Amino acid sequence: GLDDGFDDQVKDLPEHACKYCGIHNPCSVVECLACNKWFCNARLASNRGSHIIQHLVRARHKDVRLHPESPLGETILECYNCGVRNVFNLGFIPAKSDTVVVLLCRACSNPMGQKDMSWDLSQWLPLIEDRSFLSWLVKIPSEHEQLRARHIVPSQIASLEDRWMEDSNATVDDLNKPGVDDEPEPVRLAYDDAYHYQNIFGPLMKMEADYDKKMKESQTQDEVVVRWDQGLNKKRLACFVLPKLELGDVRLAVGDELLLRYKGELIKGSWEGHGHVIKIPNNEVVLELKKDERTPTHCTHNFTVDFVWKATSFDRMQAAMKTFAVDQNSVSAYIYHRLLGHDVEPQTLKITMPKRFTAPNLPDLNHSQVFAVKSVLQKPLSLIQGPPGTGKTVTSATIVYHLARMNAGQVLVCAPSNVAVDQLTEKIHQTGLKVVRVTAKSREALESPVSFLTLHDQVINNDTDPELQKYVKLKREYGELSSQDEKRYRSLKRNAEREIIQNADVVCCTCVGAGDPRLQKYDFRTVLIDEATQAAEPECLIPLVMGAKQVVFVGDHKQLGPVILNKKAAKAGLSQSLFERLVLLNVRPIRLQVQYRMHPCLSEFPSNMFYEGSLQNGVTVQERLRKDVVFPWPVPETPMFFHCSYGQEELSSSGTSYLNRTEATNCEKVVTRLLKAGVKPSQIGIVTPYEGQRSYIVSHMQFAGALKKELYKEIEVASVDAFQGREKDYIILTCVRSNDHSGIGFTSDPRRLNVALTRAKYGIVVLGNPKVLSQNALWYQLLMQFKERNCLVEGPLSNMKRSMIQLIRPKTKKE
Amino acid sequence: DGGIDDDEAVIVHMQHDVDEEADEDFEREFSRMMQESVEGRRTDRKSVFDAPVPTRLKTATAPLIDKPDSEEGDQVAFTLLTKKGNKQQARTMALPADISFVINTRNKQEAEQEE
Ligand SMILES: [Zn+2]
Ligand SMILES: [Zn+2]
Ligand SMILES: [Zn+2]
Repeated sequence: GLDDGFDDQVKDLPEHACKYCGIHNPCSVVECLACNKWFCNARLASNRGSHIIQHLVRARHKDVRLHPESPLGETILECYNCGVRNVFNLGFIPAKSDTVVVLLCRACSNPMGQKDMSWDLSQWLPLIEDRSFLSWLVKIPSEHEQLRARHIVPSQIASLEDRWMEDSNATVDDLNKPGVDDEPEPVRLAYDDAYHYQNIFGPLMKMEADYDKKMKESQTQDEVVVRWDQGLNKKRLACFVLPKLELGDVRLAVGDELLLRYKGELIKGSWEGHGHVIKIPNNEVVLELKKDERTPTHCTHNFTVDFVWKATSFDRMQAAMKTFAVDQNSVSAYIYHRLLGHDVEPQTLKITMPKRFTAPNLPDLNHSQVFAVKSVLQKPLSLIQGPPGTGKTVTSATIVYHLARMNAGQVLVCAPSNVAVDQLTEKIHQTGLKVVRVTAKSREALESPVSFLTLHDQVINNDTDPELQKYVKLKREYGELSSQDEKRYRSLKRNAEREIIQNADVVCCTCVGAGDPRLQKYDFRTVLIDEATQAAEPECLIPLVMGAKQVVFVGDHKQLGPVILNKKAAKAGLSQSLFERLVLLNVRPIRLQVQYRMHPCLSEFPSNMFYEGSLQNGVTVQERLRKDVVFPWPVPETPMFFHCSYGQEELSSSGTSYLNRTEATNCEKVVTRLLKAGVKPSQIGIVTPYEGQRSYIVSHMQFAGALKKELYKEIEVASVDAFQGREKDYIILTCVRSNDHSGIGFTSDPRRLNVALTRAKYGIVVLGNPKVLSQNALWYQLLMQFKERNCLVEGPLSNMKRSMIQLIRPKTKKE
Repeated sequence: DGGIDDDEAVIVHMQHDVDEEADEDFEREFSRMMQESVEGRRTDRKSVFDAPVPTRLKTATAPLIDKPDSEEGDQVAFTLLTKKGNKQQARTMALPADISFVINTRNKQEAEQEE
């Protein structure tokens, strides 16, 4: 298939944009004839004069030309009589008895010696008034236009003019470029303008991209053993285990591209094939090859795997930041200023409220959900905070339902992850709205619950165009078309895609997917971004700069934020989401307050610690007690405990992660007990903050488990991050860290702890070293809660005893 | 839809930093530029401007633009004469009604019409 990205369009300022501020309304700019640069007639809150005058004065240039598309057309300002072009020396002269004017220089407008009396030379009116051009000759940009332009200060103008002496092509951005070894400039709460924003986030995102590239490209894996298979779509599949993945040295996701190579004696020469990862069950990578040519299916050993880095998502973020700055229609003025943290008078939309807030085929909303829907509909910008299990997806789908009904154009619905987009797509589809799910081309072959809603499938199943159907069939049968046919097929496909998108009520895609070339011709005035707290700012910007006027961010800034690999960039603030920054700017999130997931004893601590005690339980104790599951809970009414163990942590073999054998052993015992009690493997989740522990547990359970291996294989063992947004009946949390002095690392992040503690519906088991963990203030509180409820225990599972450990309140650090 | 089309209705409170040194610097440069162009007049030997007003324009000119609602206020259509090489060009431009020579011309025209 075609790769996305190659025809992404990057918007640029036109040539005639003011070199200082970027304003480019042809009526408001003039060209300096000495240097061929354009400047506007804006004078943002100063007595310094307009940009064009500031330039002419500082550069000592004097001649200008009006823009061809200005009311007077392309006109050089010069004396009608002698041709002098110095604008500081020119003025208008009216005819005495007619509505006619000419431009004259001071010398030529001297009334001495005049014979013909048809011009009133005494009325000479200079072109420059109050340090700008007469506003009716060169329009002064509106205040709104000026606010939206780059805010350049006099000192910057002075340095830019200095630079132009040496380099005529220098730009304002060049003034701010950090040196190679400089620390990156940290993010701010507010930005002067979108150029300022781009100047901060651009370099941070580039650092992250460079780091990601370096990591991916250095991860060649040799001696890979391949098992060959074929997919339902007849495509060739290569299945293999990547030790680097098991060791946690590299991150791999479905949809990523890999290069598989063979160099051995079994074939002449060498072979290589590109493919996309279509699934990774239990660390076995399944790669779907793009082409099946000369594939050495008779070979199994001596393969090499390279990671192929793609710039697409980073390119789209950079492009979005540029569009945000350059294109006045990218977002409404209100959204523009709110995103930049400016002090804007709040706006309320005049809308007719729906009579009923519950959407068709979705569950009835509770009080706080109705309140959220109501407030969101009448505001141009809102934040919804959805703590764990509070029905975020149903609320979002309901909001989208109403937004789509109230507005003419399509609603754009995004989230950073494909999983979240799919979930939301499904719910929105249930309401009866016409939904189209746009996926990356590399994911078209993947199965998902919403496959039938993807643009790709809707095109293929579209039976209104028999010619297109013919080509679809041919392609399916023969794999490829002649170049002539391929051309025709593509054009028919594009038409079908356009039709489907135009007829849709809602378009769903990932944030990065919103930058897909197939969507670039559309305006999306209404945008909802789910999981907004898990996206980096520039990622969130991609769906916004497509014309947003009404925006809803859904997320929870008390759960995990975006994953930023480059530590420097993360430290400089790239790991702070836009949602979080808006909260810091005093945009009050509307909080959903009733949780339907956890046994009330499980929600108590998170509610108190992370949500000011505001979480209410929508499920009762009775609904969350499983009497059929016989398990040695220390207190049967409160299905939770913290199991104390003191085994040492170890560095994993990769040297970058940790594992803890004692906890792994205990983990296997708890799992076996749950399985024996009749809990299905798919209902158990093992959460660990460390990749080293994760892979150790997977192999240990299969090796040491008392039951059939297959059962353990089905149990999901993953990082806290991987469990975000999901739930299991039972959760086992293994904390790993156990040392005398070096702290608890990862585990100390309150947001990670919040996520880990809020995944379970029926019960939770925490395995850890209480002595080490209690040195952290938050963990101390958690341990105290377990202790007070008689759930802090030790000893074998069959005979657990209350732990007598004395917990010492950690000293609070002095500020 | 819900009245979110009106970008101009957005009210933003912005603070602008003042850079007095740079301001004074500019002030000095600006005065110098003006001074030079005024003084340049004395040395130049320019021919006196004595061209007649082209009569043919009188009929071509639209008398008044009545746009009291426009953001610039009342406007009057004038013709701007320019030269491209030796060719004369005429362009219509909208002048604010409150410029003194515009008021003059307008009064004269009204007086003529009454006659
Ligand atoms: Zn210039
Ligand atoms: Zn400007
Ligand atoms: Zn002259």
